[in-house]
Amino acid sequence: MDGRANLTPWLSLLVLASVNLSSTGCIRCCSRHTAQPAGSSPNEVIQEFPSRASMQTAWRVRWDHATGKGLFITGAWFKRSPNEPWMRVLWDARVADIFVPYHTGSPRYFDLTGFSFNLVQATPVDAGCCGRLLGTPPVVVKEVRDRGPLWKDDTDGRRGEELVLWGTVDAANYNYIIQYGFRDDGTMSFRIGATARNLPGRETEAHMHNGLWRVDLDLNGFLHDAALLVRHIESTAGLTATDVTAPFNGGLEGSADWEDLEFLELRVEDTQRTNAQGKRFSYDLLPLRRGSARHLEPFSHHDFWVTRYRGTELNYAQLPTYVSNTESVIDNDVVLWHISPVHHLPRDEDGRFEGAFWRGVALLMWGGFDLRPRNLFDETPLHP
Amino acid sequence: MRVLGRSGTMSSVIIAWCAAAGMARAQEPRPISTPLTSGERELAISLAGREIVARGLRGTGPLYATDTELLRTKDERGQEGSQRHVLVTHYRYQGDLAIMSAVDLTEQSVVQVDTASHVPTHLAAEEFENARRLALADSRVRSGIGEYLERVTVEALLLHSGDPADSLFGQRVVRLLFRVGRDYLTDPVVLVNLHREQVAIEQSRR
Repeated sequence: MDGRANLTPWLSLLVLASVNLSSTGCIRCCSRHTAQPAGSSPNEVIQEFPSRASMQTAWRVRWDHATGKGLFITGAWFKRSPNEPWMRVLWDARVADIFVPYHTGSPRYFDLTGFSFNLVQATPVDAGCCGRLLGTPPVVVKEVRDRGPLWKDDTDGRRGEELVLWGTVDAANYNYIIQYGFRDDGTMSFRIGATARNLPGRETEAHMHNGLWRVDLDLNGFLHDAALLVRHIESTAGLTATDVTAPFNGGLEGSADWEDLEFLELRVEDTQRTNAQGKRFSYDLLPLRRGSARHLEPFSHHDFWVTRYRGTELNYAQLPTYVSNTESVIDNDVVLWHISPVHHLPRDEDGRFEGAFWRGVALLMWGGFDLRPRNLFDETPLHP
Repeated sequence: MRVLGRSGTMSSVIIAWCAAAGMARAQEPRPISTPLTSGERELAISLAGREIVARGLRGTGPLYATDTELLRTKDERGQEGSQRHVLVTHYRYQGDLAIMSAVDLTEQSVVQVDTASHVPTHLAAEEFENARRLALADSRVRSGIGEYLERVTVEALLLHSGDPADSLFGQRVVRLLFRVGRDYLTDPVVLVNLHREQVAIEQSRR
């Protein structure tokens, strides 16, 4: 083995480990924020990877925020290699709402649309040593994070990085962190974190925080996308297993349930563009969850929904109506909807009663999902 | 069936390459749309309000514009279109009805109106003020807040019920929270029914 050939990623790491002394006095190894073009909008971020060596992949991400809508993505483009043009991946991604039913049946809140909830001003503490604040006033934290090992091969290996944008919605007593990640390998992460004060008067009552996501994935442009379901089939009665890919809901708008025994994945593939291996560009939606939420409300009866794109269809609670005309989700412009639940069973670590007040905050609990590329690259990205 | 000769094949390759190149260029980001101005917002609400009346959707009782959002339109090439469309949401108390109007600001016309009953909509600032006024005029609420009355910040959460058998179903009910500094009072638990203009106080569950 030629040891010199394997030095490049480790040299990158050494450079990455250059010391940054922040004004707060902490010392950390920080990934580098790519310099933005002169005159560019603060609502657009370009990040090249690796952050401290020659660019191999890159993201270009646009964000916005609004009253009652939190932080949302208004476009994302990816470069698989330095010489390729930007390829659109996202048209729009957002938390359409946050549904919070309490176990006694009432109250049932929609924490994003319930009132004029805005993003709170971001602080230097939010940004930490390596992050930056975006917006005037600053409401979004931009980080370029070292995300640990990307791959290992005996003594060879590489650490991954990701661009992360996050902001905090002040929903009265609760705060929600809405966070989007854009990784060097083309993966996108979508997270919602619940924190702050338990509901006054119901501080110890269990409840759910359901992130209701709407993702308009426009892979290689908005036309010619197809929604599929991938199921792993195996039983204890035999030795073999298979994986079956089929059109989502028979190729029509509708819903599907996440099945843990099937490792169910929702896939979107572009029916026109293939990689050098002749395989279609795709993204797999991978849920991150400890369970599945099922409430009285019909929109919560299923974990995945797919609709044909309609610009005015933005309300998660109306999904049963949106899908009722069963338009095609094959070779079309499709939108993915997903519920990401967090079950909050209050504990003493959330706070305590003190006189007329409840003192303390619930620590962050996260829910969400990833969108991971499949056959977007021709080979292992960022390797060796 | 037409069989392409060599030149035909070459032409096809060139056309395909040009199409691919065109597709790639078409995905290059365009400048970011400018945000909705207050003037555009007022115009959109006004146009939507007129359309609601014209379509016989006004009904009786309160009607509030609760939300506006600039809609980024897709053109035929997958690029962001230059049209300025706004989605205006009105909430009508009669029938617990959301009315969504898509307004084309360029043409100053309403291009689509949809309605939905019993779906979540934003609480308008005027509704919050009504709830706050009704609550603070109630002696039980004032007594419950007690010594903190002059220091409380009132916040709101909009209740929603998806169960037709629930007494709250179809009602505009606001839970008011009373914050003193960074902490919230555990009591009183105040619910204001804006449909009925009634204030109710629930027992906290400590």
